[in-house]
Amino acid sequence: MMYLAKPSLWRIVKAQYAFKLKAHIGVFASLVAVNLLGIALSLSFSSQFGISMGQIWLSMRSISNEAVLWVTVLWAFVVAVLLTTKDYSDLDFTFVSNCISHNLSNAVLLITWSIAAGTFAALGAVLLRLVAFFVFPDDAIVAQNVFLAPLELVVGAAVSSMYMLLAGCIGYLGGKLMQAGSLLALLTPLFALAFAMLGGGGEDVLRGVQSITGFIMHETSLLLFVAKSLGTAGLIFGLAFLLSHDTEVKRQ
Amino acid sequence: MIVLWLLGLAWFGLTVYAVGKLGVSVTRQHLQWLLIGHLITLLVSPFALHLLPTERFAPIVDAATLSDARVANRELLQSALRGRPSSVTGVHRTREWRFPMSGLALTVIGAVPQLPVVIEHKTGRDGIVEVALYRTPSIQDMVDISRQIPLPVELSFSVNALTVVQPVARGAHFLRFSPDAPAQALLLALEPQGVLPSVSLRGAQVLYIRIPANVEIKDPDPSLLFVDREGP
Repeated sequence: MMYLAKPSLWRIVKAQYAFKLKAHIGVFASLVAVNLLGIALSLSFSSQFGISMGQIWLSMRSISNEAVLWVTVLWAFVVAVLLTTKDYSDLDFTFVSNCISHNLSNAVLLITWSIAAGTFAALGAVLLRLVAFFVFPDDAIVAQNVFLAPLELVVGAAVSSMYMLLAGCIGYLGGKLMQAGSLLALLTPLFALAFAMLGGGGEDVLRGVQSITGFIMHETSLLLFVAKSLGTAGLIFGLAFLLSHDTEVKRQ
Repeated sequence: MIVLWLLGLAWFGLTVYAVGKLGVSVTRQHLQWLLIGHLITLLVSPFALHLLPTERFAPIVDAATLSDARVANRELLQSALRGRPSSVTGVHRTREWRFPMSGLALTVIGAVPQLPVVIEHKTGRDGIVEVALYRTPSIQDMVDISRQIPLPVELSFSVNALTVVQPVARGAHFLRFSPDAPAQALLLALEPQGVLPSVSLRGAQVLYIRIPANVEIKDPDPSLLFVDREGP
């Protein structure tokens, strides 16, 4: 191979990452839309109960920011799947590229999007409270959990970012599976279903899934939570990397 | 809420229609402005939250306040009958009225369920009927809802007749936010918080009327109570 300057892998990854980040600015616009949708869903599907206190009827509406979080998690999954599609991966041909630089730049891109999505989801909880104040003007606000402490916001953003990263990595693996061959993509859920039916029924699979998610989600130490999340995300991404490692550049 | 959704959909539809009709294309710059605008909104909202009027907040009470409220609930009537309705911790005088009267007989009309009316003779003969409503806190799930519950009585005074009117019962609506979902498990481990006990305490009330020493109650209703300073 002839070249004027020796290309460094990290320089290529950096250039690819910067280019993809700028090229996919629409992804951030969709994140804004998803954030607002999550807030609207949280306000719409708030739980409500009422009690009678003598002649006075009290109603208590409870609003949670879970919808904001899970809608954003879904966004992270979909965006990661899209990242493996041809339209997105063709951008790599703008640069000298191989499958390592392609996957590494995608990994950094996913991390960036996850941090942005996690921060948006955490701050969305505050915006939700602000919007609720005006959407329900006749309601008295219970002075609890209204103001989120800076620590709560930081931890919320960190935890949400980890959820986004996990969802992103799963989506990326799914996309790579589909890319590796439609047969494999078709067979994987069939194998899972067959395993569930033959190996003791769906309850075992459900229990297995719950123990895997519980392994991460029920962690009470922030450091361990981050370590477990990053480890799992790395493992899933490693699988996706292995799947595309032997494919030609044009098929990545 | 449905109206808001419909408005949102209409706004979205109109925007799409206008963009299509005017041939406006969404440029990178538009997207950047959208992103920056939303980011600023998100970053400003924690500070904006602190600027909201606090009148709409229903405070959370602690165990000591709840205990005081329970005692006050029990003791209010007894202390009123001793002529000292505000001597118990947790009792608040929520409203006062003053009516000038001429004549030596006062008629008290109307009876409101669960509202004892206690009458005290003042030492002076100032020709003023003083009425005060005392109440103890109403607490639901450790939330002090006293301020949001409408006052149960209205008073009118004419021709030496004091009429107690019970207004139409209204509802009170509350909004409660759940803790930040993703951070909850980790923060609870750092700083354990108890679950708010399900307590329902309806505050007690007393309408306390002070009449001049030379005024008598005309045809007193059996439900009217009189201060007994010699009592226990």
